Amino acid sequence: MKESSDKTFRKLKGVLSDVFPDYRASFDRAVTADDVPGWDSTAHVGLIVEIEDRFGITFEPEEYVRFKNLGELADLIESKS
Amino acid sequence: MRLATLIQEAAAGYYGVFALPYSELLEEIASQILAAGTELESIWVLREGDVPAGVAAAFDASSLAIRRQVSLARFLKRLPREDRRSCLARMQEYVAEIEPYSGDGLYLARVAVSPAYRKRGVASRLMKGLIAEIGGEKIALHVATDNAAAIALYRKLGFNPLLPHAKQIGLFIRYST
Repeated sequence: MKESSDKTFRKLKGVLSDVFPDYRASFDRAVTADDVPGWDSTAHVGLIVEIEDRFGITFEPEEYVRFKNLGELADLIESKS
Repeated sequence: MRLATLIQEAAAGYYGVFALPYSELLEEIASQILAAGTELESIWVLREGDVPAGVAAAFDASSLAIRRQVSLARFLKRLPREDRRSCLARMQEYVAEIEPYSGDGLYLARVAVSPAYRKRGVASRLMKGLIAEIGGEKIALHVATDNAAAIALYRKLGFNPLLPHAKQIGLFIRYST
C-alpha cells in the first residue's frame, strides 16, 4: 500500500483531535491506540464511525483493526477514498 | 420483528445504552439478524408451530471483540452525531461491568424466550439443541449475576462461573465434553 498523503493525514488528525480532545501530544504516523489515553475498544468504534462520516467511506468489519498505527490507518482511509 | 423483540428483551440493559426510540431500536436489531460481522449473524430459533418460542445467537468466541464493535458501530450511526459521545460514555460504563473474555470456544451472545413460552423448558431445549449441534464444544456466555433463574439453568446444563465474580455481568463457561 502506498503511503497516504499529507492531506489525508491532516484531515485524520482533525478527527482524532475531536474524538480524543484530552490527548496533548502530537498525532503522528507512529502513534498507536495504546499511546492515547481513553482509546479503548468502545472509543475505537466512535473513531471509526466518525472517520466514516467525515471521509464518506465504510469500513468492513475486518478492517476495524487492520492497522497498527495512525500511518496505517491513514493509508487504509486513502485506499478506500 | 418478533425475533428482534425477543432479543431486545433478553439484553434490555445493553440496548438501553443507545437511548433510541423503541421502534428504531427494534429495526436496527432486526437488521443485524443474519448480518455479516454482527453479534446476531448466526441465530438458532426454537419454533412452536409458526411462532418463535426462543432464540439464541452464537459465534466463535475469537470474534467476540470485533462483533461487539461492529454491532455498536451500527447503533451509533443511528444516533445524531451530537448524541454519540454520551452514548459511548454510557457504553464504557456498561462494558466496565462485564467480566472480560478473550478465550476460545463458542460464545453465546443472546438467549431469549418469548414471554408466552416461559417456564416451559424452552431455553433448556434450545440450549441442549445447540450443545448437541456443536458436539459438546466449549461454550462461554455472560449473564447478569442477579439473574438467578438463568444462572440456575446454565448450571444445570454444565456451565460454571469463572471466579472471581467482581462484575455485575459474570462469565460462565461450559467446558468441552
